[in-house]
Amino acid sequence: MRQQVIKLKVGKLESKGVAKIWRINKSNIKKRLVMRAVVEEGGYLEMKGKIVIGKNIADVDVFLEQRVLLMGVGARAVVIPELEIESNEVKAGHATSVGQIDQEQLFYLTSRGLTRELAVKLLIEAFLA
Amino acid sequence: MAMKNKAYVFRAKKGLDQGVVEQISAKKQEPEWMRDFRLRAYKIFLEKPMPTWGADLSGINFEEIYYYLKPNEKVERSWDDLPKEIRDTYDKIGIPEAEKKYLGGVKAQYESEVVYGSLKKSLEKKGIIFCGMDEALLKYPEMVKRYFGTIIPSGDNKFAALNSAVWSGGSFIYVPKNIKVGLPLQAYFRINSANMGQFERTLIIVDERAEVHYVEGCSAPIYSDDSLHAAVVEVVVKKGGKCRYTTIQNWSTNVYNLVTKRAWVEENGLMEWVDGNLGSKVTMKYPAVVLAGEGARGEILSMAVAGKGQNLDNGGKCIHLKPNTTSRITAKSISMKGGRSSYRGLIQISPGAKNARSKVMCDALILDGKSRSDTYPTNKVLESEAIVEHEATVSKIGEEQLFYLRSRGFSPKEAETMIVNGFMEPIVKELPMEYAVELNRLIGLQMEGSLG
Repeated sequence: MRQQVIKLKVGKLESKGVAKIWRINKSNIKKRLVMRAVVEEGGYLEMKGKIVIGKNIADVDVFLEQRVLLMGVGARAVVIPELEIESNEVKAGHATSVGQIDQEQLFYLTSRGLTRELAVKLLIEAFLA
Repeated sequence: MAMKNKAYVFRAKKGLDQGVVEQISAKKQEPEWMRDFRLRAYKIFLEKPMPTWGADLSGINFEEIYYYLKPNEKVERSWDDLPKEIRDTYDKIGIPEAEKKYLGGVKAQYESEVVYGSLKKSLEKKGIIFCGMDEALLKYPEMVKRYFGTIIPSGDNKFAALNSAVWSGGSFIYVPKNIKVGLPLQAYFRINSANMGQFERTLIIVDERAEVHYVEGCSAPIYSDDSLHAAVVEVVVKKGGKCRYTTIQNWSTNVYNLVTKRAWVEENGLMEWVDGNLGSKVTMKYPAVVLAGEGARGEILSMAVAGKGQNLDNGGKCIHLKPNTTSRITAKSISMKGGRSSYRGLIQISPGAKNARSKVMCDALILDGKSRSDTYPTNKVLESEAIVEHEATVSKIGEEQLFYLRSRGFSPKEAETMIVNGFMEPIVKELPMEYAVELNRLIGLQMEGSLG
């Protein structure tokens, strides 16, 4: 499946916004939009993603994925995934999550001898890879 | 057609001005603070602009509406004491029968006023209060004054202001500490005349570790002119308390249904909104929970079936103010025959609400190419130690499911109805039995001829 990926890093005390609108105007489309961001201490992110499917469209399968990692005290995010669907021979969806680094992954890496700092750095790198 | 709306003892003139607001207050012989509350709200209503988002509200003509219509002198304790046409209306809907079988108490509102009220003796003895809002204002003025308009202030939105200015009827419930109300308490709202505005006002207070389930139903006959239903519902759930509020909205398709509902939930309390929307021309309703105490929980089940000419814009809001609060929203919608259903929601994790968790799931079915489905969720995560998840899907009925059922000998219509009922099941199963049966039947009826 075709995939478009948008990645973003919001540094300490930075404020950033990202928005992407997909308008599906023809039939026979299968694709996925991925938006990922890491927000550091005191950072602020606004992320908006939208999929619009007009009338008389068929055989479309589109998905929007938004993932945000909040990495420190005061990190904030406003995430808005939207769908507007006017055809029925289609499939559309989205998934959004805002959260922290997986504690189990962190535990595993530190148990292998990595410092916490390095483990976090690697996990963020992987998240945005 | 001869209007049946002769059945009233007083009707305010058409349209709204300060005089009408004062007249409603005077008719009800209200205390001065309530009169002032109404007049302040009326000013706010005039100042507030119409919402520019959501459904199209340009069809509402505030001058063409009757704001107050009193159908009967007093609240009756026996169905037999009601005027015949009002009694017949409720008989047809089946309220008196349901009351005998499975309800703890009933309030029936006809146009602007509660015309019938009952509460089981055993519940009354435990100190539970269940009465009309107007009655509560006279009988329990301190309690009403303390909470009225505190969860939803008049300035919240234009229609909350309108309700605050001209409210009439609605329920007042108080459940004392540690008391669990086993049987649901039910209210039934009926608009029976054309151009009617119904503005009921409900206040529910669930004290510490108490529990209650409140059920409301709404209906109206169809007229060519539009009616307006703008209710305000405020719920307070104290420490460890639990409240479930179930709505089955089946207004006729000439009703604008613009309702503000919000619950304030304290430590370890639980608020559940079960919100079923089948009828109305336009609905804008987003039941909200404010999780104001540590460990408070909120759950919203939202359901919409939008058919021809209907725009159902509903969803839910969860505001997390304190640590360890959790919320979940499950929304299911069906659009068919040119109908439009939208999920609109807000999750807000306020700064300091550490370990708050929220999950939202929206599923939508579009049954034909004329219909529309939208999802408009906003996730505001202002605390870095919190987790918010949101998922949504929009699709048609699965070909494979349909094929399987057809191969087992079901007609296309039966198969489609079964799949739709199955899709709704997670929400329908939360309804009281009688409603669940009725709902499946209503969905089946609406779907008639929807096969493309």
